[in-house]
Amino acid sequence: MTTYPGTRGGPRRLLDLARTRLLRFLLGGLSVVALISLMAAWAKVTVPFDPDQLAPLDLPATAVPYQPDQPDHPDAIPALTYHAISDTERGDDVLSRRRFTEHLATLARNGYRTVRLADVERLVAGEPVTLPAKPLLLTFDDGMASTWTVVDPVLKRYHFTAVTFLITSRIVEPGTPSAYLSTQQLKRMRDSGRWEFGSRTPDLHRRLPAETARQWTERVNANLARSQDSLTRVLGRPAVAVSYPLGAATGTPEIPEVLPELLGQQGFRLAFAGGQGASGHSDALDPTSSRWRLARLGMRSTTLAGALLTTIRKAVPVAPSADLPAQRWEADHAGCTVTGERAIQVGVMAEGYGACRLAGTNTTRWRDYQVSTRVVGIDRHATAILAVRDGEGAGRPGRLEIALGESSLLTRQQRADGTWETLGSLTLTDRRAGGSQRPAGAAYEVQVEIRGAQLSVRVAGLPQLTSAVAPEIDRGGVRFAMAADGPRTVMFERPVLNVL
Amino acid sequence: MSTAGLETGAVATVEHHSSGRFTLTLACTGVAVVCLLVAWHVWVRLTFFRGDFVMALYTVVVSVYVLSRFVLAAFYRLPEDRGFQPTVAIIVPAYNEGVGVSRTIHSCMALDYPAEKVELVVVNDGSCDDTLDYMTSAAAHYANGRVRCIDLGSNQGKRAAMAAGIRNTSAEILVFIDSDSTPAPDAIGRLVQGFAQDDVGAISGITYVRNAVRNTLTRMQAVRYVISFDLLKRAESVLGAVTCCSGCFAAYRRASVIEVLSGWERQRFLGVECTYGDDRALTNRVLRAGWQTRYDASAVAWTEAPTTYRGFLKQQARWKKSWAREGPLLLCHIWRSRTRALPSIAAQTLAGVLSPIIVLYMIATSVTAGRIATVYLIGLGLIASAYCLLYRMLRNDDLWPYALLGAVLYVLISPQLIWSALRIRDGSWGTRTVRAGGADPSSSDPDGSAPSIPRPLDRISGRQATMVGGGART
Repeated sequence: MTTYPGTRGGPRRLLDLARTRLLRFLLGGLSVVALISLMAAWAKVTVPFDPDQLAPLDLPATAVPYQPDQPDHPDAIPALTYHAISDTERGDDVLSRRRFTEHLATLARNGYRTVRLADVERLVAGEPVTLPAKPLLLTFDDGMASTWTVVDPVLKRYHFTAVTFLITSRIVEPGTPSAYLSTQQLKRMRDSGRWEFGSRTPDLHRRLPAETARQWTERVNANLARSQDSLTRVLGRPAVAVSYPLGAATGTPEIPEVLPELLGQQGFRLAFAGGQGASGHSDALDPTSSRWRLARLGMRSTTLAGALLTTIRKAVPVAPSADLPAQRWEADHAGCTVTGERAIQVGVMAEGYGACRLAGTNTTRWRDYQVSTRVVGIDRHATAILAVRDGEGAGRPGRLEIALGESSLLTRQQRADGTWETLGSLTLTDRRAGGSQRPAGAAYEVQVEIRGAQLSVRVAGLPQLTSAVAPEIDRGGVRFAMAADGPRTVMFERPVLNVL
Repeated sequence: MSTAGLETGAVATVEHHSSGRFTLTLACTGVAVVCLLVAWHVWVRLTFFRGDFVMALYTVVVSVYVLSRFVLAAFYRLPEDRGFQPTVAIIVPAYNEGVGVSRTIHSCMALDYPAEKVELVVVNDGSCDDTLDYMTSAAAHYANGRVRCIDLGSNQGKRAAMAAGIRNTSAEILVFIDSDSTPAPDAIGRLVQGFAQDDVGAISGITYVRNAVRNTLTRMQAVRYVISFDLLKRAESVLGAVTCCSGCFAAYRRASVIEVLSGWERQRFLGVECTYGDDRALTNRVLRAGWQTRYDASAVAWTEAPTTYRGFLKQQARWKKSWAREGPLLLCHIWRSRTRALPSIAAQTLAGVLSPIIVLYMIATSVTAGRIATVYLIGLGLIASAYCLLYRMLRNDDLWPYALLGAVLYVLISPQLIWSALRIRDGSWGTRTVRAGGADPSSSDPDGSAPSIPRPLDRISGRQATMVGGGART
């Protein structure tokens, strides 16, 4: 038993003492814990947010596909859109680090080289510009911090350059915890020489509720000017390119017309639309592109490296080719083969429709042309269908079909809204042969010509069938198809295309 | 750990003073860690200047100011005891003190200083009660000339009373003691030691709160006094410019006071006669005349603190008014009169001015935008913790948690500065018109011996002291 100096009065006094000691001990302990928590909290708010760049991931060779037949396109620049790259965030447009690295490794391995905004500007202005065999524009929207931490090291490894479209109001001072880039990171990016900077300004594309056209103009002008100001302040110069928020300039009808003028006034010379999904259609930039509506290919978290190559291939417009059997044909609800005699053979196994279509071929530049072929296999049970200006490869609805049956010829168009209209028809009774029908298995020489708004079909021995075509059906490729009520095969022999 | 901690605790219950070596080391380490954390924060703020400019500036200024207090205070040394014994006059202005004045006279005469070298000058500032009678009868107890009674005849104000006292003595050192302050027996002997150095014009002693354990408010004030003196005044003393040698207990060299006396007595500000902040104004003028001002941590006195929030707020308003008046006046000359103290005083002024604005801004944004100023609150907590630890190092009397509480109180009332600055021309004291007790015999020791610990009191006594907080703001 301990005795304390000055203790008098026995157990009761001792009890008080013990209680005081306990209280003091508890209070002291509590305070020490509180102080340590305070210190930890202080450390947390003090630590400057300055994340390091992450080293690029090393990929196994199998993760990087190589396509030897990936076409060159020195006259068109596919533009890819990425947003944040992150292993922790989730989102439709957030790629994982690994997926993103696979993308860039694949692009590098397949011979893609990045170009600058100046090249794009000259290209769309129709000025002469020398581009690599496989030119490419990489863009990163929103100016996320991952653009610095993840993307930049990967660009460096593969010797790529890129453009980032900054939401200028989100740029933070160095050290501030944020998902967006800081001024210091932006300066480092600029100094690396790998980056160009564009603006991404919110709410240009639509009028806010209760906003007049004039108010909209003023707001947009102010937004654009503010964005240019802050870019000049941080990076020393204003941006030449802008990326429309939420995809494209849409909304009220006059906005797409007025916006380019406003953009031009604020010193912008290029405007990019947001990327279509990898499954959608988007054209690479070429001299026919509008500088105020530059299309991009949106990269999704699900876009595999192989799909990326396909997407790029589909984005690059291909000139119409005379040698139709040499194209990449794809079966659509049918058997689809190209025979040794250069015939395209469509076969269905049961009642219904089947086709050979151009797969992964961008037919945006297929406009006025003539297709000649010899069709074999038409009978009471099978109708041959030849389609021109099939908009699928050009990323738009619409198609012209010529249906050739045993007893009739029919032309029809599918308009943009998906509805079908019959344009013209002929009865195929051989009047010269005394009214008897053609023998089964006979061959039909068919020549189809589409020029401007006029479709002409000539079947040997029949009068020419000419029809006026809806103006929106102005481009697209060829499709060979058939309809039957049982297993049948139709051959399109030696099809030839002539550009008009 | 626990053994040592308990040992200290057990002894502390019985004897109130000594802190164990272990506790001291722990508290000292805590203060050092807090200081390092704050310094690191400042460095980060300067490297990555972020947030809005005013907030960042405030954080940096306040942090640097508080840090510098700890660092400077660590270099403080007590004036060396050389047995210096100049002639001393204790000046006591009295206004409606009643019997209290005789108590003050007796306690002053009981001080441990050679009788032939000390005289007491009591000035009756036209009291309308029996103060004069108590004065003269108390003086009659002592040898002729030891207690000098002066009657101004009419109420002329505290400054006039003090000036009359000063003019009526020829002692080298003038000691000012408030009528509700009690010095320790050796306090005068200690306080004069610093004057052995020729360029020292004024020295402040330390004043503890006598009625500390009365209630929560007095406990918070007691802790605040200790921080104000033993941290802030120590730091100021190292630079040779204590900005306020407090009216409760401080000594001035006669030579330094005489040259500024009439200016001080007749000080007018914004066209109004100055009736408060006498101590700060006098220190200010002594500094301007080129003297050093120091602090002596070994010269101890006890004073009464207000026991009600009403009284406390009135006192604070007076101190803030005098700070708002004397702060700018000090800045006007300190750059040439004591250049080395300029950064410290500039930071103190800036922090003091920004503090109420920031508090109001914080409250406004947390209400309107729901934004909690995390950095500010955590920083406040850390600095308050450092004060707690420091208090625990200096005094082992279980009052250290009140440093935390007090920090909250003093921060919350800091916007009072704005109001005080607006009412700076209003010279009323708020206490002088109301006669408060003061005749309670238990409020001080009749024999003048200082209590070793703050002692409970039953009621407020006398006029409140005009000690200025020395810009002690977190």
